Amino acid sequence: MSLLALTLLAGCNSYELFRVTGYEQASFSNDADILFIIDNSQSMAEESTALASNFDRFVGKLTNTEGGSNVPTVTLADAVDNYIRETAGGELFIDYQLAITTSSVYYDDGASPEIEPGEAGTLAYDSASDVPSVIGRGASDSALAFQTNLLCEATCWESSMPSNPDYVCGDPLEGDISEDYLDCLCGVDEWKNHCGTGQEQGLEAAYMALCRATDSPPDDCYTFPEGSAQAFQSGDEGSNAGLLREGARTLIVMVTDEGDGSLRKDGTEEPAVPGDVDEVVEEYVDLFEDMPNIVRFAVIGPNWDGTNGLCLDSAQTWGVERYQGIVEATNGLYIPITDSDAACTPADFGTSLEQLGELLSNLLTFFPLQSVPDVASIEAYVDGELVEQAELVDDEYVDGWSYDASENAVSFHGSAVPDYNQDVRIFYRPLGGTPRELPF
Amino acid sequence: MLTLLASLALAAEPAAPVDIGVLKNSDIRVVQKVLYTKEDRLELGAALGIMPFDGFTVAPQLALSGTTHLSEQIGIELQIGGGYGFKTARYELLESPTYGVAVEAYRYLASVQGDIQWSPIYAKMNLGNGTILHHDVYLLAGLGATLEQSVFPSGEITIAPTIPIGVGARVYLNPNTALRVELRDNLMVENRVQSGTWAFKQNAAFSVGLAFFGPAKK
Repeated sequence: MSLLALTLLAGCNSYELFRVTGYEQASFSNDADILFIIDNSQSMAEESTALASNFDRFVGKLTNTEGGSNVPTVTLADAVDNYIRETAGGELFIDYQLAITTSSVYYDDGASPEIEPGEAGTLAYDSASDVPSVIGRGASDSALAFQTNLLCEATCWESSMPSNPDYVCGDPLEGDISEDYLDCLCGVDEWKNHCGTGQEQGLEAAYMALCRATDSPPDDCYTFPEGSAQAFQSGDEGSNAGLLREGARTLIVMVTDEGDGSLRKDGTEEPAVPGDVDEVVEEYVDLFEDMPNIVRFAVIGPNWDGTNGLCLDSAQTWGVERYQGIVEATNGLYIPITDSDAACTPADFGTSLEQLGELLSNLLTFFPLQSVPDVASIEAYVDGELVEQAELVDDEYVDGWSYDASENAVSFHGSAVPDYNQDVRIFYRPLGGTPRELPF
Repeated sequence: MLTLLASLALAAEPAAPVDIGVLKNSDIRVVQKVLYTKEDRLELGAALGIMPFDGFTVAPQLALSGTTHLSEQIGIELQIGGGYGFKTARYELLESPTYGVAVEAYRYLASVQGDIQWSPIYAKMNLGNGTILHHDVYLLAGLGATLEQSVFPSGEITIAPTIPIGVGARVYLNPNTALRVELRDNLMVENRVQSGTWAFKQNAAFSVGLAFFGPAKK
């Protein structure tokens, strides 16, 4: 008996732990909720113009040439037709919706001490033109609707804009934006007085916007660091209703020429201070993980590569590195807001926006991992069937999966790309051990 | 007449005392006969069991056994078992998106084991002051093999050499039938395919079943 007892006591089982990343390949609707965080400080008018001017290219990237916003999705027959076109042609087909908020987090950041659309995570919308705050793919002209909300509510214009008496209301935006164009788009002088704070808190604004999108937000939504104002409070739940759809992916697109000045870190009330990068990034990664959908970040931000900067102006490098950190943590995309020349001209936003479209496209075949894997241990399954590792033929992968170290993700190629609604599970042994404490 | 009187006189004479000594404990012997015997009999059994002690799988099991009893104390048993190990709630919590951890566990599928039973105890107990239950208690140890399957989707099959050790009891219902209760710990060496490692594992099973005794051969 003593031998038995000794064996039982000594023989605790031990196991190898793998990370498992599970996804369900997007359903046919392939929903993507895209929230733009616009820096509405005074220095951003030129960039907002460039963003608005090129936005139709982004929308074009999200919808194929045949379909676009005119693709019907009402009936089952429509769905079948779309599915066949998608699977046969491999074209990108995103059921997107767009919304805008600003990097101004506090109620009194704008012209009024009261909360205004776009502040504290609320959605900017132009009530005068009946453009909704959440613009769906079914909108008659989603690019124009986006331009309206962006230029009329979320851009800080100089009080005196160039005049263009030849402009006829309804003409498309071409070249520089004039007072006449804005008057037509927004209503006379309605575009004025939408300037925000110089202390941009892009991460906090994004978090506030998502807090407002759910009826039961996480408890952290109600907390705020010492010395700051409470931007979200009881009663704000669901005030951004419709922003997040069940099962959709959330893409947050930050457009700013400054770094992040958010104040949360370490899950405490102690405010972040200038220079805090990792503490702030980790805090917000945790906060966004508590949101109902997967959140990825794309930042069109200051031109800083960690060593050298271009046209940084007043941007603090630690603030820029916060944005770069959250982009890396969410396998997103960082695009410099200025060209790599001395003129500091805004980058080609058309190209930037197309890259955003490709980022959404990549979500279909690209499955980010949570930890850096021992590549030899990776096993990928689609609906329980083992997928073989892809072979490299003429510098291109053919049927199977491959590991992309730069993105820390597994990509599927050729016939191995998971079909709609299929379960994707990727097992691997992490090089650095399990990153989270186990529950026992 | 004299002869008769002489005979009576001899009969009335007191007998000489016999010294029987002091009664000692060692002089006391169990005189109760073992009512339910096993020696030289074949025991066939069926049991339902569960393997609940592993942290990540739980397996119901059906086991069939045959035991030949060489004596009242020693028997040789062959047991075959089958079942299916399910992931526990703990496992499912771990592999949820919250933790994203998959444990390289293997589920029980089947086993074949041979063991020797040693039954040093035969006893009776009074149940409810009304029923006397005859029972024995035995220990077992043996060798065997366990068929297991990875809980990962690949479902690799592995055969693990196994040393079963255990303790059990037979409660006799009649001379040919017994209720058998057993705790058997299966000590295994697993070849874990994904990680390419060998690991020691124990997976204890608790079972309850019926055993049927055949006639003695002699």
